[in-house]
Amino acid sequence: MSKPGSIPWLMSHELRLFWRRGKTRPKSGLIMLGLLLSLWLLFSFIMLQRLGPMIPPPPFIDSAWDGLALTAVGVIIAFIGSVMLSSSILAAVDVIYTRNDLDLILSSPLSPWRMLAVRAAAIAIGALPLYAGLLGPPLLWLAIFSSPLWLSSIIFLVTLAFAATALALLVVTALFRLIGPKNTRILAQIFSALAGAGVFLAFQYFNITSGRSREEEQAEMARFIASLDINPAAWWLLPSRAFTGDIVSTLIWVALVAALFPTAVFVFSRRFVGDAAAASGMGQRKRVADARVVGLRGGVMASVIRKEFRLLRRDPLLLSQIGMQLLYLLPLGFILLRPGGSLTVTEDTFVPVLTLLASTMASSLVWITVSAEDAPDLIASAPVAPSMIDRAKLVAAILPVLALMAIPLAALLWRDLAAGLWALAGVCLAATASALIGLWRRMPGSRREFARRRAKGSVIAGLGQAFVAFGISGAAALGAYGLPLIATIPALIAAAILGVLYKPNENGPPKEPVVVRGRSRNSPRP
Amino acid sequence: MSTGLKVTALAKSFGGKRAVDGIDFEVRGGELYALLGPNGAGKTTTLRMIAGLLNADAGEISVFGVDARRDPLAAKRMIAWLPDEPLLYDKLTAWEYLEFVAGLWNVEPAEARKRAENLLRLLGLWDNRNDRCETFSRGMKQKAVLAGALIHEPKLLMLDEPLTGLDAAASRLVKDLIRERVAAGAAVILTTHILEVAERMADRIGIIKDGRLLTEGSLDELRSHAGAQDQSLEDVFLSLTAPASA
Repeated sequence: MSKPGSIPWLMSHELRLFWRRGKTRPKSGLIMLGLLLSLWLLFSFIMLQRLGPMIPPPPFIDSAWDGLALTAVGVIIAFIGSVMLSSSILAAVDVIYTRNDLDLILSSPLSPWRMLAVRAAAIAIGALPLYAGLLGPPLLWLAIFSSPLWLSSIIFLVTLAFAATALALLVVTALFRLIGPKNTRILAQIFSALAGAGVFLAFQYFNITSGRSREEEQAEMARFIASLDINPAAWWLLPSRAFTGDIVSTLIWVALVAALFPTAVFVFSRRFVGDAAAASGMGQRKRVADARVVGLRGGVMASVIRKEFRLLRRDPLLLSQIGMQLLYLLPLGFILLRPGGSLTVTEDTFVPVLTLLASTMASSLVWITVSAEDAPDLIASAPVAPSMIDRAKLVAAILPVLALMAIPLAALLWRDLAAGLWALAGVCLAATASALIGLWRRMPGSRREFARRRAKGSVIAGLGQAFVAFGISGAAALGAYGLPLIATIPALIAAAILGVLYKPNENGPPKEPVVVRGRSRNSPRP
Repeated sequence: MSTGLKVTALAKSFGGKRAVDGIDFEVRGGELYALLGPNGAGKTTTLRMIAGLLNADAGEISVFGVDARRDPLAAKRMIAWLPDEPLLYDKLTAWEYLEFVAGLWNVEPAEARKRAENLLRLLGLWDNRNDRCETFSRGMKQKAVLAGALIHEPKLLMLDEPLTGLDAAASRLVKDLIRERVAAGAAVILTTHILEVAERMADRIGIIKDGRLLTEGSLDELRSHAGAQDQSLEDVFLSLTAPASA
């Protein structure tokens, strides 16, 4: 047992919280993780036992081909680094805004610097598991079967996480200074999504804007590579060299990160107390007398819908998160619209894209309106049939989707009536189906958990919404391409999945205890 | 006085643990009944079952003659439930919150507007009516929730720790409001750990422990039951709920 208040003690506390985040049964997760890791270790062992000896030992610092190889490694590092940066920004924002242990920690006799250094290190470690799990085993076998210098890649990955965390802390601190606490949270969310998706989207953007077919692109790329004479010793390839076993580069890289990380923690911690206080008090704006008295409007259904619209409209963070989800659908659009691709860009191509977008948005909105109800007791104690509340919440989830889709649908209808009608049907059906699944498979949570709802929510609902969306968009696309008979197959599959997921709402209050905001809503209370 | 709330053999278990074990009690219209008990005694569970937030395993609940288990919507029309934790919509203003609650109870808009204004003025929230609830202190939130509970003029008012987080002035205000509702003929049932409040305000007191009603009656009746004449409610409560010595 480490001494309470010591760095190892604080670190074990942080890592325990990280591990339990969004999990209800940590032990079963550990068993599953161990199993998957063992399988991956075994598989990579079998693979690299044969391939390892054939891979030339690092470092790769001699020829132009080495330069090219290092550039390719650099692209991979940029991708991994951007994803790490993305998750670190979110974690840093989480430290300031959403962790509700700040008062406790800051009122304790612990040094804020020590606490934040540990928390920052925990953020870095938290960014590692995916890459450690995916790349660790093959790199380990590579070090055994090819060259021990490959171990530098493991060191590099760990230090990359610390570098990403350092950058994240600096970004969040700078955003606080520049735009204030309220906007920082929203912008950091957007920034993190862009940082995570940036490299991927950039490639997709390149695909669509290149204006050439795939064959032309490949030929062009080969000519371009041949014309390059990349010096493997170039300064910008330092991370790649560090990753691939160049001892000097590794040492320089580690030294850089060793300087950057404490500096970032220092800058962050100097501002932290003030920033955290500003964040917690950001709702405490100065009150000014507001003489407006608007009339009250009645009606049960209208009241619920109006309430949901108001809450949605006034939560820019939530809206930005929904927007970010749609961003990840862009590559699909790129693929569909890509010239020379398997599909020709016609109005028909937009049918499945719009349908999928509608489904994604509806599933997000229904989670917010149905599962993330802030005052469930109030709703449950009202003299209103639960089915009416459900209907109102469904309408509140579907209407914004239809409103947003109205313009592209109108444009499509104007350009190609048949494609427009198929898209209209697809959008309406997909939005309704996703919303219904969200309603049937509700899993109470709070709005703050929106970004993590997939981890915390019903897996069945998530998968069901995805499969039904694919089924309906496939059917709509096939219909638009003039194959209505074949379209019945994915449509029937979607209908069957919908039927399987149907779960009638029990009238009356929930019978089983459900957890909301960390406590059981229905459990006995003092 | 007519019977406002009648609870008969009410029971509820959670995973084999009996949280409420066959409770019987009655609250008349125009009466304030305090339900007291140590932590985990089953007070909130009882109230949540009456409010229709939890399904009872057994027993009967009658609210002004309406069987709440058979016709929950009719019963809910007469009930207001004030939870111990004021859960509001952060992004709604106090005015919008009341509009929403009035909508749920189907209060006619013009009447709702009048009541909302009265309640907000009375509770000192009128100047903050257009502020979002996220900017409110704990006490202001508590008051906003109370205004929401009263906007449909309930005949049965159930208050779970209604004075938590309130300052002295707000606390007095809430107590006055409760008395006003009682005087208007409403049946009021409250839980509290502040025994002085129960001692001063309640017409009758019920003491619950381990899901069972140990005793009920006026303070004098409780004193004689506990064999502790001239003692405070706190002494009576502690003597009745003390763990049995070996």
